[in-house]
Amino acid sequence: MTSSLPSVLADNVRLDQWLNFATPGQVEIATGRVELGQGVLTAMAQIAAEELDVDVVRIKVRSGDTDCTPNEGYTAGSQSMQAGGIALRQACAEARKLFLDDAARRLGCAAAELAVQDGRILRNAAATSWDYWAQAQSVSLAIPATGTAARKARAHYAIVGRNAARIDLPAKLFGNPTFVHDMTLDGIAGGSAGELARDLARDMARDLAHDLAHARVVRQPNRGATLVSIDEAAVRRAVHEPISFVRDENFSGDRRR
Amino acid sequence: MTETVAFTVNGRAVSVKVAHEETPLLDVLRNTLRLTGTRFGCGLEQCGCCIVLIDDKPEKSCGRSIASVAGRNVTTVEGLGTPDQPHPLQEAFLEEQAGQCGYCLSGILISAKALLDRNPSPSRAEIARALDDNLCRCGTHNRILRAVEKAAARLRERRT
Repeated sequence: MTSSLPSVLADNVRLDQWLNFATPGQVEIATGRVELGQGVLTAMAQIAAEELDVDVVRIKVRSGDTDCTPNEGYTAGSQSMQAGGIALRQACAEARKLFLDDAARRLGCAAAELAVQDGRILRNAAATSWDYWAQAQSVSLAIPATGTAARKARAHYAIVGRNAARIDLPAKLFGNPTFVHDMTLDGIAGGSAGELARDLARDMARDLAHDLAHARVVRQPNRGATLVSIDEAAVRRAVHEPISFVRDENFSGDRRR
Repeated sequence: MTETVAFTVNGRAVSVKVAHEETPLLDVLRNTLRLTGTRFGCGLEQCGCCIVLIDDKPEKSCGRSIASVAGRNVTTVEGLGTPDQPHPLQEAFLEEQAGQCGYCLSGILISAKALLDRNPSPSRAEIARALDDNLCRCGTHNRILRAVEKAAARLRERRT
């Protein structure tokens, strides 16, 4: 059955790679795509909200955390919506169907009698005692997508195709760290200028411990400053690693020998 | 060779050690004080991403030496408002959804604040002129102009 899956979903086939209902009242979705100003996180939230029949404000988007988001390769080539969006849409459609089938069993009725309204299960348009979060303990999403759930017909779209507030915009208007170079690894702040050997040693020790190749741009402390020297021996002593330095005029890098 | 410079950032007195008195204010804000809301764009005073208020004047912080702000008051985007208590400009930018990638917005908010502080009723042409030093390559210019107009109107209402 998996042959009919969108390719990105086939590559990341477990439904819980894409969404969960762990927090009451919220849906956490995960995307391998990142926000570059194109509004992709908002669009993903709209897709999930549409397919799951929940209010878009219930959607929390996890993005760009490679430990816990689907591996979708690059965010490039206008592929986010057409490849990533369709995968998320299918994953959400499958999750919705699992919850409806579960509710039908509990209520002893046909799934066709049921609908979802903002996460709550309705039976013939009347409220039931079930909703996504009440059922989340018993409906496992740790299963592969099958490609068998039908996605919502475009004619029934109420969220996709309409304006939604950009979820990335508040952070940008309040000056929060939001761009890559505003972020720090493990809470380590960027180094102050003029303490080059100490900063390099600290960063390299950290990166080597993670088996990462290390490269770092050190800004000059003032305009027109040039790199006079680096105390390579001091850095080697500090990291206890046989590393080598590469230098091209003012640009310096280092690596394990 | 280490210098200590004391100044005020967003109402808070700070004293920072720098390797050189010519260290750009932007580096101190971002790297030393971790106020990363002020963005590094070109580093050449061309793009306006790094504009902050020095006393009440919008200035490009990449081109200002730390020594030149000793004893002065610096205001960055973090000093404008918070999600709980947003500045009318931040409120209006959100309402108008005035931003795409958002990289220019910190500088634009600061330039707009400087404008509204000295001219509560700017014309659209005056707003455009005040933001002339702030480059935005995404294309939300009309939304930005509308947002500044809206914030100006709201500030006038609050004053009366």
